[in-house]
Amino acid sequence: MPLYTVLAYSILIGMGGLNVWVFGKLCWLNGTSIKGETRSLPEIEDSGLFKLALAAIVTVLSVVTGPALASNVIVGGIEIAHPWSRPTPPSAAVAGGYLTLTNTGLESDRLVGISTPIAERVEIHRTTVESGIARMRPVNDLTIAAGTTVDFEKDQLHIMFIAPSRQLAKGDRFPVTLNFERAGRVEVEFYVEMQAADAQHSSGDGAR
Amino acid sequence: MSWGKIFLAMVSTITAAAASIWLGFSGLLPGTEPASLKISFDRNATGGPFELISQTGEMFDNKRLAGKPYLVFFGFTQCPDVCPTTLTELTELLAQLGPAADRVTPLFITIDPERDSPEILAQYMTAFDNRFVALRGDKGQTDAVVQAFSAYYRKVPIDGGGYTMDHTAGVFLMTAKGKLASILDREEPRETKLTKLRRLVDAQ
Repeated sequence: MPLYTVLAYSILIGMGGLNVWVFGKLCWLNGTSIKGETRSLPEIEDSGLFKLALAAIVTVLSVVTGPALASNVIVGGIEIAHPWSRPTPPSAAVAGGYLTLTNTGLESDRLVGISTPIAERVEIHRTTVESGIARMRPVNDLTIAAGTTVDFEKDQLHIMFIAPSRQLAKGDRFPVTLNFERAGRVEVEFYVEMQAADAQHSSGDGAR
Repeated sequence: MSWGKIFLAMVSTITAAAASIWLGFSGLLPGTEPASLKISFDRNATGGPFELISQTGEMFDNKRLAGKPYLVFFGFTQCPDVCPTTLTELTELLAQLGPAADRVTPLFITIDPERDSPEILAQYMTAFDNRFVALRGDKGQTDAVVQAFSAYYRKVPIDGGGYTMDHTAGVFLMTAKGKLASILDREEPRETKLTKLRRLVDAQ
């Protein structure tokens, strides 16, 4: 699991714990002020208000973390994080997509196919800029060795959606099927967003 | 002198030294761009005459640019990565320049006129700063303009049909006299790019 994901989860869990504690404390204080005597902890946990507060916190947390969890998919030993695509200019014949693949398994795997209903054809390309010249070459064999991460942006890779059926606008989502040699097929949802938002997502990734 | 004061003096000395070293290497000061980012181009040989057609169908040549600084970026629309990010960044940099940006003409020259029809170019450019002039020529005109800027492009066939283009990734900053002032390198920090653009529009 990438470091930033672990960190984000820890913060969320920590915040949830803090909320529960504060709510519990409030209930307890209410109890003492009314009755003038100290309630024992089991009594507080049994109270309706406490259960309601707990339910509310769980609901809020699941709503907040829902989209984040949905974008991280694990299939076999492969964890797929942050699939996203850039908005396309009108009449663009191609769209670029990016994601992060982490092989948490013990054996290496290969990404052998990508398909999506929104494009005629999908390829993986690597862009290199050497001596001021930009070059783009197809990558036919993307291997994710055991215990490694392939971060498309950092590794100057992109998924090229060729002849997209529509213009991609900020906020759009579209399904993409990834086919791994070992882990098998998995469908993920790509989010269309600006590059700046992306920088925040990936800069905290200290896993590699 | 107490130990506390000695400690404070040491910390401030080290901080000042570190800050000045950082500033020296950061490329923020004029004329101190990191050496590794310098691409050698012959200043006098860059920016020769050219004649192309704009996205609105007008004839556009270097004479139209006389007396005004301009930017040149070579690319193609079937490029999902380098070209849209460069055009988006230039759009943002021009916005950051404010009204001064009106003093510079940004040019996007396609090196793939075969696929980039005038209609496609016109629609494509609506996603970027509306001061951009998108230019296109036939094979001969494209070769001539690429040569005029000592730039590079090459058509590369891809297995299974189709092709892609290799091309110069930097953005040429041209002075009002039509001479090369500098090049925006893809890898350099945004602040450096903005500083170079400011210098270009202010040098009049």
